[in-house]
Amino acid sequence: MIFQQIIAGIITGALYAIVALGLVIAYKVTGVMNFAYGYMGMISAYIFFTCFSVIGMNYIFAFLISVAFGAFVSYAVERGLLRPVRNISPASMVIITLGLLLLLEGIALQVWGNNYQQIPNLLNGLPLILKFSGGIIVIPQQNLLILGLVTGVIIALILYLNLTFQGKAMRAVAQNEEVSKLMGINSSLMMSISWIISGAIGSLAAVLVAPQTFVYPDMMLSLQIMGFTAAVLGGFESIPGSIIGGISIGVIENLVGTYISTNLKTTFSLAIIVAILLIKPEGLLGSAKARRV
Amino acid sequence: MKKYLWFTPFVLVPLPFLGYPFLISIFVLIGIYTIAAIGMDILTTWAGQISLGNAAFFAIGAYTSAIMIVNFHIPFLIAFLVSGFLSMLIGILVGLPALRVSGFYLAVVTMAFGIAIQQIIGVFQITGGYNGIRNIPAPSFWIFKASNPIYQYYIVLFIIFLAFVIISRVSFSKSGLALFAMRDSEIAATAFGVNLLKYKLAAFASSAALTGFAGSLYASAIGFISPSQFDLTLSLDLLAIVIVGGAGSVIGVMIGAAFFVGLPFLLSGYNFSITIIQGIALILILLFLPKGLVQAFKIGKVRKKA
Repeated sequence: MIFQQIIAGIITGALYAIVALGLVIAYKVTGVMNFAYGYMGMISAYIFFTCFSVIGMNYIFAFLISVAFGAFVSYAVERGLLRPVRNISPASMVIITLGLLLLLEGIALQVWGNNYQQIPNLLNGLPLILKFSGGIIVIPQQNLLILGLVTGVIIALILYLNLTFQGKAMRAVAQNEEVSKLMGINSSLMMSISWIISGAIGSLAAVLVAPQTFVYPDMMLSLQIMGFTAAVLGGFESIPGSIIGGISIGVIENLVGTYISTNLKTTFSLAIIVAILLIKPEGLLGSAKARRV
Repeated sequence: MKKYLWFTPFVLVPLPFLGYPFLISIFVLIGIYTIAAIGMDILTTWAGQISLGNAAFFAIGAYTSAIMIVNFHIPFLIAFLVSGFLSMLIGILVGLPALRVSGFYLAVVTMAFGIAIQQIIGVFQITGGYNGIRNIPAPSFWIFKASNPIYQYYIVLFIIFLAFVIISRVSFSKSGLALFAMRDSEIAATAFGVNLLKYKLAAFASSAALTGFAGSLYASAIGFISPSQFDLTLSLDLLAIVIVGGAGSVIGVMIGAAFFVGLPFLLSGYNFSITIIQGIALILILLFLPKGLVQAFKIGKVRKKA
């Protein structure tokens, strides 16, 4: 029973982790915290719904189109809207991306209406069943797909950032924009690429979660809140931090929901997270910074 | 005395509309949001703290007042004062984490508080669960028994005026300067002997108290409250009112509130999604008027945020 809950928590947590990752990559390179992130993914989920259920495309093809669309939207938003204002105060940043969130929500309402739209799982076969002395674990195939894709994305990202020249250049821009420019790195291009990656990840998360949540304008709200929380819990600076943050929130949430209280699941989970942050104010993997006054 | 004169037009504004109670009740709503947004302004512009959970103080004020009035038949004035006071106490508790965390970390802590309060209200019996509390009577003092919104208008205006008087007195006092010092650099402020504990808690307490008062007025003015009214969107709306109107000025906050509350009523006749217009407006204002709408009106003084 407890193993089943932990596995379920890891799968929810994997989605939180990937959303956290998308937020952190965009934030580290451009310094913009995107509060409309989930809603950009929501638009991609609608694109998927339109391609697959309305037009009747192949599942994989529709999937690729929606992820590419999400990457493009993210590129356009960063380049056209947020680049000029990336040095405004954090509160203003929250509000300008809130404006974007409202705009996207309104567009979704206007184009697709307020109905809950269903999209099917890609894999509907028999669930994977593991039996051992402690009990039995059932994992639906769609969840295995989520876990596999998330792991794949994370590994690809780590390899990209550590082994390719472009990845290293991107980390250099994240570390110090001026110096990286002096070293001949095209920092503007790196910023665009970071948002393209971030947008593609957000769309992937939205399309993966859509069979469970249905597709509607607020479908990504809780994923976005928890993804942001996961990023903060992890320290808001690294890939391992986001993964650990996301998975621990997923597991905490599932265990609290099963063993403490179903009604107050979010309350207790958030209380635990706040407690962790109070003990370690810079997040699980964050590092305390010395600052000049 | 001179600096209070700009308030006089607001005393006279509703007089031509006495025959349209609906219009006046919109003014009341704008005023209530102004009070709550002044609370947000104190926290963000004055003390430099970020909060994504002020909707919870609004909810605490609204529910305290509604439960006292509906279940225990306590007069409005007492319920009003108690709800602000209770909200202030909880505000101090929420302010404590701000001593350890800041920035996005504080945003998450306050957001968690807001979400938790909303969920807790939905679970318990005394708050009416997800159905909320209905038929909350309009605010009444000993002489004002009428439910005409004009009385509510003057109550709300009086509270905004009080808040303005207190703010303009504090802003040039030692406490005000200490707050600004803390906002600009906590380390430097400490070096100059500013007690961060005291001023952070004071900022959270006064923000929570104002928001709680606004919540109490809201419950009585609307007459119906339920948990879904106090979600994360409300916290973000309060922050948006401050930023869009003009951070650091009471008149700016009033403009922001009028914009946020009034716009939906203006556009309600058309079959067009209102969030599109709201979203575009927010983006355009931040792009072209980074100090808020008050910049366009060239009135009031906008205090520059560091």
